[in-house]
Amino acid sequence: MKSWANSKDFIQQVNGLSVEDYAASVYNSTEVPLPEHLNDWLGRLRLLYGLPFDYLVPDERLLPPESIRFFYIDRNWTDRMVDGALSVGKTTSREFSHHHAVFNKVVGALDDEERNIRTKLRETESKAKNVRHSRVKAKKSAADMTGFLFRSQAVSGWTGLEVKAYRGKNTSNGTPLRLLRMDRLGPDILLCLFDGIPDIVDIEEPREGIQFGVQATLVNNEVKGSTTCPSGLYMKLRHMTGEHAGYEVAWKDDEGNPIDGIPRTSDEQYTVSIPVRKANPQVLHIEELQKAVHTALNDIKRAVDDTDVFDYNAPLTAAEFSVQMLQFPYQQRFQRGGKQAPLDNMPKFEMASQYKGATIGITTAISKLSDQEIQQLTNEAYAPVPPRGGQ
Amino acid sequence: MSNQPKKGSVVFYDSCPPPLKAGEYELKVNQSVEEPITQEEGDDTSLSIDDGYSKKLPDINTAPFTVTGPRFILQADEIHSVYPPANADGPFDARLPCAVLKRRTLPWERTSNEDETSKQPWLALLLFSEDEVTLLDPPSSTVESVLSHKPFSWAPESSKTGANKLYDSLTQKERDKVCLGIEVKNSLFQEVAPLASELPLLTHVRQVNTEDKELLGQDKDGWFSVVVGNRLPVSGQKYVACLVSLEGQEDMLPKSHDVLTTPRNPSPRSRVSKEMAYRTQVHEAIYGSPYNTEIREQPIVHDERGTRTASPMLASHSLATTHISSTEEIHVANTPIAVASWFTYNPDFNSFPYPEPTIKLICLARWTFQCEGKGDFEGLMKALPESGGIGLMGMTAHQATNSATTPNTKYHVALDSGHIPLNHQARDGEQKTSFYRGPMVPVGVERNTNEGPYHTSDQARRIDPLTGLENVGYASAFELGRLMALNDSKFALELLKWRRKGHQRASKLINGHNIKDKLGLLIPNFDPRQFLDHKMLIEQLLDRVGPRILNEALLGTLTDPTGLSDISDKLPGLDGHAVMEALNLESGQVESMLGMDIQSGQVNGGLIGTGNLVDDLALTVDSVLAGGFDAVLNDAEHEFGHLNAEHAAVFDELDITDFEGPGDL
Repeated sequence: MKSWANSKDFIQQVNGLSVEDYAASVYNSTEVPLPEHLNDWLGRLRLLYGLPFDYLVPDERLLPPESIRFFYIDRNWTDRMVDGALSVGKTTSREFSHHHAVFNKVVGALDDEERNIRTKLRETESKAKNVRHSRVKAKKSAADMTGFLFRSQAVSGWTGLEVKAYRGKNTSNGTPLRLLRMDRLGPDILLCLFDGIPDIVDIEEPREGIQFGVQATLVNNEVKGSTTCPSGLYMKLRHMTGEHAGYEVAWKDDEGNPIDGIPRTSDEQYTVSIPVRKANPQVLHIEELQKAVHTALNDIKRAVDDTDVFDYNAPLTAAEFSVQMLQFPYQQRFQRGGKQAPLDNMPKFEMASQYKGATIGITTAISKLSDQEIQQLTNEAYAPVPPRGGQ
Repeated sequence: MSNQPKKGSVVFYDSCPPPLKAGEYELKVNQSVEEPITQEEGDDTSLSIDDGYSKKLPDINTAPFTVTGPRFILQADEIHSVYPPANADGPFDARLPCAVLKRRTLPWERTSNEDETSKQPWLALLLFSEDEVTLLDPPSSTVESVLSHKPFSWAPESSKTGANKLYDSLTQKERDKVCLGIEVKNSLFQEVAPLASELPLLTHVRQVNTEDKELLGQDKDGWFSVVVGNRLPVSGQKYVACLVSLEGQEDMLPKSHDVLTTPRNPSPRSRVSKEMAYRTQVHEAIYGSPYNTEIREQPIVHDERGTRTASPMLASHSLATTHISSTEEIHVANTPIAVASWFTYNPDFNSFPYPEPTIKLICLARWTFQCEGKGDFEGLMKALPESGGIGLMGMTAHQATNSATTPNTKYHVALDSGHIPLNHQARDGEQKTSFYRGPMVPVGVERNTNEGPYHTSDQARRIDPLTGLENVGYASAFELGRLMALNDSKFALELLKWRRKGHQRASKLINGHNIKDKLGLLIPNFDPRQFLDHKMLIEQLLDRVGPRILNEALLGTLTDPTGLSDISDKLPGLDGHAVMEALNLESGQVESMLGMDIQSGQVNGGLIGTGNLVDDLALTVDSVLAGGFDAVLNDAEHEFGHLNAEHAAVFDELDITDFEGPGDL
């Protein structure tokens, strides 16, 4: 049984049945090829869950500190791993025949399953069992699974990094690739697997960790105040509602036109000087800032004469205030470089310049929880607690 | 998740207070009966039974319960992330620090004032430079030591801070708990702590889409509460960010603050000068300037060169001090020289008996960072090409050989396609070098569906014809899959169950083939698949074969399965008539008991009666099918189950750690 062909003959000889007939006897047409647990287990194996790190990166030089390495998944490798898992307890020609008969079906089933593992995990995690996701079928060529390993302090310091991959020249007309797996294998090592070969990969600072920040007027690297802006700190105003929520007022798109139609003559036009405490100028005077932002918004409202856009009530709520204070997350793009990688069409990734546009939409600030949310909270609060042992 | 914001969006919420704050509650159930009165009877729409007719019903039940929540300690996993990252070095001077918490209700589960219904958060993020704060650590730092702290050692017993009051309300068990804490000078705390009105603005809830994130193990996917600080770090300093509990301590927060109106002086001010000011003020407060006429106003004066011109202090009072008319004047006294000279002139200063009041706060989390260098996210990402690099997985020829000399080019193909050379101890003891390649490869590899399945890992070993080296990558994969399966007893068990089901079906087919070989002569066009329905098979068999057997006297021993018929005359106990008489039974009863025909005296074992062979046989087959056959199957199932359990036990005992990695196949 050195090869597949010989194995077929062997099975024919032992069982008096061809492999195909044997397979037909094992399944009837309506049956799933694998029981749920096996499907799930092998699907995860395909996505390299639980593999010792040494098998992935057998030498430290393959992934030095502060590096990113893109790769294809060798589907033959993962198929062999599934082979190995299914070989457990295989002692006689009977198990041997069975393995041969089911192998192709199992491989097909796992090609589908590996695309649904992440969705299933997310469902379990959120306990949103009632939300069913349509299962995704594998494309014809399931061989194109790719990914990257990212080893950096950016992984350990920024929990919840966001990763997006696209196929196509740019994100607007490119196809987003399905994220098959995203996990930290170590404190500073991030593994991502994609369904397909990406042209663009974006790594972004986590949105829940979007920081609050200010702009500073620097003179010789020191913050310098002026009579109009005693603290030397200022911030730009943003829309809080509507389709441009989150965007700076009069933000200019790629063609240089303000997206909201509000003209801007200078960069300083829609900014607010940030009040700080007299007792300690490093401490922002939040109370006064809240008022200052509101005044500034009202000024714009008068200036542009557009009550719909800037119709905000005083004082600003915490959510509205947050929208004004936030700084956009940094997004690092990796994209196809000039030269293609040898042998195939995986791009040779190069560092792209920082995203310039505020492409991250911030939806409106919502001040109040919906009734449904309150109901959910109540349910959580009154969820029965399992009794403690020994009492 | 259906109700998550769309990809890339964030939704901000003001707050997310829980329906019940953490604390002790009592649930009272009572009942009152009211008798409705119609409109004509009076103006009252209802009449309580209590009104002279009946007694008030007693309370039916009370049930005390507690809503728990973090109070003095926050588990590390409650914190999703912090910014700036702990122990990071970076240019964070234009960013406010913040802490992202996994529980969206956490900041509102308690309150900073004593009003139970208040929506004031109880958490605040304070930022101190390393030398401004004393960190209190367990085991010496307990809830008691922090909350019972009095700002002034000479403060009267009756004056209590919010923390002291909170302390009074705690049980001894709660007081003894250890916690993290900080101690800062009150003047500094007053400078940097948020106003009570600012607390809600510095705390909010965010909801994000988690589709592009790693799985975070959250109950409520995508919801976070965020506590933001209000102080910007200064470049070049080391900071401690502290998430502190302000539960019930709103009275300690500053009441109001003036806004800076004059352009700021870029250099940070000396803290020592403030301490001077404080001591002066305390002295004034205690002794009172008007009272102590001996003490004269001694403004600190700077001469043109910026050094201090000291006025000799009057020694008429044991305490020397200066009067400072405004904080602006203190502000200029910020050079060490001036301060030092001031100390020189005032030998009593250090023995001033009233140290500056400090306050202690319970710290739920704290982390340090340095506001220097390029260690922020942007800096780290931009430094990638210089440090570790961006590239495809794999080793360059230079890396693989560890030498400056160029290795033989024939190895380049292997190295370029992601193979790396590793030491390999073969099972015959030979030490050699083999290529290994993991699942992550730098080139697209065509999936070879014609290969496999394999049955041992040796089948997947390959020799590279170019270099003569073995490639054990796929063999390792096979072995790894096998070991991982063996390590998981549930998987192994499920695998065996599934396989057994397949075996059962296949066995039927194979047995059908065997039967076909034997029965093909008897049943023309026999389809072995019919054997899957055994009843049909047997019926067909009986229909077609039965008459033939009967007619051609092929039945053999079937007519007399017990073989007793021939020797019935030697067995008096089988004499039907004798038994009938002896036991006083009906003939039918005896026939059924002995399985014989009384009239003919033939013993037939009960299998075949007097009638038609086929009918009798069919009846028997039905009864066998109804119970016997299934019973046999069930028995087999049971035995299989037993076998599986044995297998599982064997797998359980296997220790996966006994097996070596890819180097030792």
